[in-house]
Amino acid sequence: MNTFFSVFLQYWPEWGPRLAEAAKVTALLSSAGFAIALLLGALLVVLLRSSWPVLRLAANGFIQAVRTVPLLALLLALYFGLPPLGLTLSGFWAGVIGLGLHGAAYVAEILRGGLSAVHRGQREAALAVGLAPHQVFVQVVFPQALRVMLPPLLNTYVALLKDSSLCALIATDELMLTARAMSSEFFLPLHIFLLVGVFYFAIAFPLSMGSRLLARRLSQGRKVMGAA
Amino acid sequence: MSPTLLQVDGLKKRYGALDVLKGISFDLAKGETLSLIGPSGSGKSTCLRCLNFLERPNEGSVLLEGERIGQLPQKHGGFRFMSDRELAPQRREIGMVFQLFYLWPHLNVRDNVALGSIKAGGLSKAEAYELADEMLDKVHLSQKAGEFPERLSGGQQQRVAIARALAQRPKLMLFDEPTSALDPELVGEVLNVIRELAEEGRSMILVTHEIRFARDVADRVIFMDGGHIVEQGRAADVINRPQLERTRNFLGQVAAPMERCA
Amino acid sequence: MTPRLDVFGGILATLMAGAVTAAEVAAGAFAMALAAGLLLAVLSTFARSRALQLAIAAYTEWMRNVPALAHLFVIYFGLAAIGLRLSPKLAAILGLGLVGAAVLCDVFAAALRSLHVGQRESALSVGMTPWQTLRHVLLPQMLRLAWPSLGNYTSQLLKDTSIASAIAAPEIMFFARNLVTSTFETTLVYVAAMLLYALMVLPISWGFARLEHRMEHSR
Repeated sequence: MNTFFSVFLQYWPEWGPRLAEAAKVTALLSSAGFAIALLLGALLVVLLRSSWPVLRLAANGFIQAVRTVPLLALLLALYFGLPPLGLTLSGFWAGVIGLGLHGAAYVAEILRGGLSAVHRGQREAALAVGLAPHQVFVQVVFPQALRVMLPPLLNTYVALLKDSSLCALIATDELMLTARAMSSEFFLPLHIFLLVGVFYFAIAFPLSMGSRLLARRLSQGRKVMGAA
Repeated sequence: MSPTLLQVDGLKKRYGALDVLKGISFDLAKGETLSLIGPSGSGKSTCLRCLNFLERPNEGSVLLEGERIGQLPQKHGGFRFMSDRELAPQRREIGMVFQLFYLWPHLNVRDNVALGSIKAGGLSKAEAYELADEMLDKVHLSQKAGEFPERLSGGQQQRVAIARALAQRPKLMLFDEPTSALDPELVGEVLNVIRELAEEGRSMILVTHEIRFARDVADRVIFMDGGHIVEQGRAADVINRPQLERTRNFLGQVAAPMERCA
Repeated sequence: MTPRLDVFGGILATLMAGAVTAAEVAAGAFAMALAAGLLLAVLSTFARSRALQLAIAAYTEWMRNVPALAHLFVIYFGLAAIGLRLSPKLAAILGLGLVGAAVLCDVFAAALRSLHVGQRESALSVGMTPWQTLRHVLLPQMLRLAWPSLGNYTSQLLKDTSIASAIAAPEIMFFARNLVTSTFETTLVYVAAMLLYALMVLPISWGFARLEHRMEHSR
């Protein structure tokens, strides 16, 4: 047992900084992907609520398609499948776009759920008071929807963070790829992959816990709903 | 003089710093109907739940036909609490009807009544269903045997709960505010069933807010307040001619409406 | 047009072998996740030992905050380095099964805890033992509550089998990448692969939804 842990102590000066550098790329990759997912997800929600059936169909079709295929297939298609068609993306950008497209489908569902959780009476009361539609949205509906959406959005970010590990398979220089490289260098796969797990845990766990605490706090705050 | 069925001695129950039961003792004769009345927080429900050890009393004993409920003697003296598994046979002897009925939503009415007999009563499926039908007939709900609880009104659900408890063929029936969660127009059908059971000569303890019903149906009434037994006696005596001020105050709060509808 | 269709057909046929592996891995991992997840959920909800509850929580948090790929690498490469050599398929089943156990433990425990305590009390007061109460009253209700999440998990699991390609398990993406390098029919290969996933995932989702409908309306 002692020898197992002493390996970590011995190699930490070399492993630590390398993984920390790679962690920055992972964070960047996930955050950029999440940003795209948010924007695209919001756009999808707008399309889903549009009065034109064509747009609704397109949005639904996109979401269904994305949710049926594995993220890995999407990433591989973006990285390997586009160059023959003339567009070559780096591993990083294929990853960002892949994560963004994949995440958008889930974000759209969350945004839609959040908006529909706001009671219709809220909107009606705001209009009755004389607020313009866009004001109704910004001042009344959105803040309430946000409370419902925040925890699942945080969870989606954590999921994206974990999914970013798949970008190692399309040559992106993030945590997992670095770990694989190190594992071949040092011939200590068990230690290295456990350590990279710790790095992911260190980033993801606080966010997961935060999301859970936030959900609890937010559900305590609301005492009275709109009229039934 | 009827033999004693239940002997409750010195029940005490504490939740953290709060003493809910401060030494409750009473007997129940076989065939007797006893009603526990009192304000909210007086400990009536806790007392009832201690009888089948859904709550564990900190002190005191419960004897059913001389047998000690919920506790096993230790070698070096004293008693330890039984686990839920050890308690199962004893609980089978005591039927309990809850305020919120707690019917099992994934089973239909008949299965709700029969399940206990099959799993804990050692009856075959055929015997259990026969018994279930008999009990459902007793509570006047034979026609609902195939329905699921969510389709029934509150009063019907409570009657099914009573049938479920009766199917245990228990020595003692306990009712924990059986009508408190019901809409007013549904209370009557449940009280009628309870009245019929009392007239049959069953041994029952009834915790209720229906004072008039307690006066008419119970043999004896115990008035509890603040974890103590304040006054007890024959139902008509305690309710019509309360001896103590506290009892009078409590009944006074419910007397006015009573007189109005008497 | 016909030669392209032939090629597409050939690609599909090759990938089929991968689909079989994917189904095998999913089935094995599902069985493991279901059994272990149920056990952990029951223990976590009803065990009186605080230490046990904490241990289960630590397990689920670790499995769920670390990517599945990392778990697979630990099991496939890591264990091999200390002498325990598993086949890619077995490593994939084990890895995905352990992650799934954590996911389902959370799902089942949440469902169990949402049941009213009165359900348990009424069962005990009828004379049933704690085990009988669990089996005949609590678990049936828990399963109904957890059903939609269980369906989501299963669909996701089928897609997650693609990760096993990273440890050279002969499943769809593994064959796909080889096909791409040997035939250069990148677009056709990926379209075929996605089609196969869709063909596996859609019936499962549909099946779960159908049974959910049946459960609601059997009353």
